[in-house]
Amino acid sequence: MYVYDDFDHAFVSARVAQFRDQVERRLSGELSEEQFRPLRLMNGVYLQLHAYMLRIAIPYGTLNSRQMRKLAHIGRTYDRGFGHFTTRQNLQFNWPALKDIPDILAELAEVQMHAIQTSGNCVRNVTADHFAGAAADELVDPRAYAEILRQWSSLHPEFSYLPRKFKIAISGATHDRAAIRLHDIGLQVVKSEAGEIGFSVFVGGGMGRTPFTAWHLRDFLAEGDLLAYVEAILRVYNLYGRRDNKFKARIKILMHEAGLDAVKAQVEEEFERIREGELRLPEGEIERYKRFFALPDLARRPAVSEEQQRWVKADPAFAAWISTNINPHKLAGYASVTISLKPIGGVAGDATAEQMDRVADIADAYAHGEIRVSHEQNLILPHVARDDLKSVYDELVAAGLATANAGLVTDMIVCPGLDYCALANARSIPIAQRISERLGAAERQAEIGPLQIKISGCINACGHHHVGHIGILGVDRKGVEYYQLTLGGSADENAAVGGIVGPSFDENEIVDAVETVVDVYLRSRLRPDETFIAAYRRLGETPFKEALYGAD
Amino acid sequence: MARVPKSSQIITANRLIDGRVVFYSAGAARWARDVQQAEVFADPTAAEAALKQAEQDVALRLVVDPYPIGVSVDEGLILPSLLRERIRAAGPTVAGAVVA
Repeated sequence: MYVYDDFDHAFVSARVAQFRDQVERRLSGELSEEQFRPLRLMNGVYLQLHAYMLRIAIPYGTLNSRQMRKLAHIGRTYDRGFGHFTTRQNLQFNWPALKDIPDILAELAEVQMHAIQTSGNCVRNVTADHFAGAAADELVDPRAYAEILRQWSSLHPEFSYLPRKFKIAISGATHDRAAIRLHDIGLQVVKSEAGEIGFSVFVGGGMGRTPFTAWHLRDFLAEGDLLAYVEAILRVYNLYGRRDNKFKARIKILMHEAGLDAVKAQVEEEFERIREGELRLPEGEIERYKRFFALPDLARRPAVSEEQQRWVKADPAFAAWISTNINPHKLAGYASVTISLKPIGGVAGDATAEQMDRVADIADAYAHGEIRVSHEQNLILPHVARDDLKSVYDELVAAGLATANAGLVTDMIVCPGLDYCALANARSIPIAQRISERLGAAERQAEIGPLQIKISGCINACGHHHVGHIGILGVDRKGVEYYQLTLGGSADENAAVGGIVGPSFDENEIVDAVETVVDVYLRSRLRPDETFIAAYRRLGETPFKEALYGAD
Repeated sequence: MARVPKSSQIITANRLIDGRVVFYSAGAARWARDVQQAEVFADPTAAEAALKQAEQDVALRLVVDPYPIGVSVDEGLILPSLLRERIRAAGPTVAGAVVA
């Protein structure tokens, strides 16, 4: 992974010292809350319902065991012994005291982490495929580009006060696991007919109150032009993006109002103007960054692991876990492991300090110390020898982290909702917990197969409900929580915004409603391997609607 | 105890130093963590006066963003009217979450 150089160390340390001074000035009264608020937000510090919340950047979801142990230590020392992994592949602590945050940031700096640009109208943490660098179906590891983008966007003076926040995601595989079509900029690494590496560029995807899947801005952008082109997009957005209404300020609204052709013409014009300038990436520099993300030294192994096969036969629980929580690796004899943070009836994305330590230990013992955070709020061990999968599994069982549900109906994305978030209108977590309990039996989940439920507690859509196969949006109706159901959303290469199926349900009805939708699917699918989303696309909403609300 | 009209109000804020939810109280410490220690204002004018006092505590760096919330009082128990405020007062409703 990327290793800080002297500049990075000095930069992050200076920022910690600056924020320490700002907190001291706030606590001494020199700064008012109005003056302090933008300063704390620039360092990822929010004031939520119950306490301050600190959002820590995990660049493109990559961290090592030492960093994970530090997060565990911070959770134990300064918080309540747990942290929450988010859909931006970040980590949030829900209970830090303001007075402690400078110390927390100093501890993070020791392990090359920070909380800069995890809030505010700037370029946020660049996210990537959580199997980056490991997936069998990957063309190129996208993280070198993500790191280049991270450095370019860090405190970029021109883009520190954009009309609104700006999110970039990148995937090096054709199968989109990074939801790139739901980002302000989505980048897909592609190869041209001539064999050159470059990017297919998507712009203007997003969720929130006005969801759009992205417009396709460019088929092929040469590797060396990455920064010039992205800067051109940001410059056009910064110039023309609306600032009169924060709900219409994202680039998706500019795309919607101005149209693809008009925006593209402006971007291309600006790109041509600057492409030969200082932002052009020298070939040697790209290669230097790629070396940071080189595969660890993985010994050659037979493609088929007899050890894995033996235990699959001997241990049905292990076999179930292998069938869901393993992703094919680019090297024979290896796999990527998904550590589910979705225990049945648990809180999606939460991990205790003890669990974080255990994951770090397991990563050191079996996975070259590498860990990833997925935007689906799980953890990943990218490089595990198949011969070691049973040992990894046993240790995960001991840590309470071996839930065999990756990609299944209980592997939900869930925002913190009204239990924590100052913006929320309704609770998300308790609804998810009840759905998880209702549908969580192993046989039931296996019968249902791949199905993504995503839950948001308000229209800001942090829980990605718009792109859930089944999406749930919490709304407030005269002080009472109601839940709107959307169907048919998708976050992958066939990205789609789900449609609202009908009137909302109260908190007692919503779990039944979800189960009704699942049962209609099970009754209606052509074959057991016709997935929910495939069946929905074939059937349309009518049979689901009739089952939920009765025929007209 | 007689039921105080629904229009009764208490004042809430977050403590500056650690962000914890607090309630304006008649006690010497002024800001209590426990909603049951909140001072209940049946009279809007009294609530406004308390809010002014609370705003002075902003200047004194005790609390951030004080605001009044509606409550009902039943059998002496103060219950915020909005779910959001009930959650702020009692902590997350999530099973297993620590409330303090």
